[in-house]
Amino acid sequence: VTGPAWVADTLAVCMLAVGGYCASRIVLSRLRDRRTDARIDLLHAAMGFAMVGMLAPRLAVLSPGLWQVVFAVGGVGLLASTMLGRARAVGATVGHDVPHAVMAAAMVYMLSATASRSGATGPSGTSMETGSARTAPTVALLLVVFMVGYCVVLADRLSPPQIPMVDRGARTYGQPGDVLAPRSSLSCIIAMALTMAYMLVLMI
Amino acid sequence: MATSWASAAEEWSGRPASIRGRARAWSTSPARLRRNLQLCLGGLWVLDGVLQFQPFMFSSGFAARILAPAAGGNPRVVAAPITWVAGTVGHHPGWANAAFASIQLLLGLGIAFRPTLRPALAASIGWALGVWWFGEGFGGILTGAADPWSGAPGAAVLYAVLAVLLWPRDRSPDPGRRSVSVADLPWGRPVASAAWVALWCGLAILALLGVGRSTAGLRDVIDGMAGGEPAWLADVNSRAAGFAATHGEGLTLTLALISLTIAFAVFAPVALARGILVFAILVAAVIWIGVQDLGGIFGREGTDPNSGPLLALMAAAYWPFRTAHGSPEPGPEREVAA
Repeated sequence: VTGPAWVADTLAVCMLAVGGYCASRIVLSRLRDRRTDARIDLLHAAMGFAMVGMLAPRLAVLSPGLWQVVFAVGGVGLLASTMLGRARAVGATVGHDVPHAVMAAAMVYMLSATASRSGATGPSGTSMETGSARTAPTVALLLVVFMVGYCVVLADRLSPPQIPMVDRGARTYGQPGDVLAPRSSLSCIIAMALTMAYMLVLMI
Repeated sequence: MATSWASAAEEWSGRPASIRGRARAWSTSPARLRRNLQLCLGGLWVLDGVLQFQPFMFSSGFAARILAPAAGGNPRVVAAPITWVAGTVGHHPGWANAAFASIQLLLGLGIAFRPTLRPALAASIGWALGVWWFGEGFGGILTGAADPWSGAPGAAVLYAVLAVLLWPRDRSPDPGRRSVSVADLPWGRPVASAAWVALWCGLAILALLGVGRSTAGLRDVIDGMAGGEPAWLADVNSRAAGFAATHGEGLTLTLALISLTIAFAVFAPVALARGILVFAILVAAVIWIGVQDLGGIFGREGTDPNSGPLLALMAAAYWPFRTAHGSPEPGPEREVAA
């Protein structure tokens, strides 16, 4: 049982673009003096490139094992830095880094499932297609539900603000010190989460 | 100049920053609850879209094993269009399924994105009714095979009903009303109550008339749902089937009585209604896990999570909030009641 190759290829192109954009945000934020979170952007860029390799194995730049290490370290490091930040500062964002850590965990899960079926690529060329024994399908389903829920929450945040912020004053966004392209960033994460949900569904 | 990405995004979007703030925002007023239920509905559509991208759906088996069987037993006027749609999809399974999956994804994201909420909800009603006919054969209601255990009257029609109940319109509440629910907001209490009573009385009738009313019938329904699930769910199914094999008729009668009780929750005092609605959510969860097998998602041929989550969402939409007339203290509910 396999899906059409063009779905995997289309998603691979999307993830290549998303990964490239997330990497470019780190540079752009410094060039334009705009705010962004380099940790998150870096993690998302890595996720994008890793998923390209899973969707189109001929474009893989690292082995699944190495990517697993990257995301395990990245996810744990993200949580650790957030927890430490929480201990030091009021109003830190423990709850907001958790989704990114879960996405990193999902990458570790998908890569481990891929590694356990090493070399077993389907006719469409992806390395997630199954036909053999599945690896913890309940975990895959829970991650699918998380990704879907996260997509919806982010799509809700994409909506333009209804009430002007008090401290925003008459200033318009896009000036030095402002957040760098927040809607583009949210859109990239939505695309990434949907792609992850698709790949996880193949593993159920 | 680094900052927390999430904080920055929230500063831009104006959303509450703390977890506690968002948790409170879930249920402190009908308007807030309605938005969150809309997001849940959108999430279910996105989940449907993702499930529609499963490899099996791109094969001719989707038309042959999921669409075409819906025609069986239905009157000719209902069955003929189903057969035609199944044949058309069977000839172009790849592109047809890609379109179906994309439409459902767009419906979900459209509901979540506030500027497109109304058109997406309206489109979801039309799409859901189309799926109810061409994909589910009206849930088997006209064939005598409809059974609430297996998802009757069909998940698709529940999507449509929910979209109607969660429509973003605030009708002036009746003066003197002691409580108001999300479902009351767009079209008023009489319409909302009628929908709830019709749904649960209908489920009671279908429980007594459907194929699951006999001992063997209910066991067969449960066995028919199983397939491809992980060990823990297979164990739950096995135990449920074993229990149904000896207590099937009693279970069906109990479900019918429970459904009738739940049907009249909308007429009960606030505290009792809340208790019944929590019970309704529990019943939906038990049926969803024990009988419906989480919608058969683990079988890799599930196109939606079946009726369990939708019944639970609908129960949440009828959660009564005290109005100014029903509460001695001012609260956010008054904003709605005013």
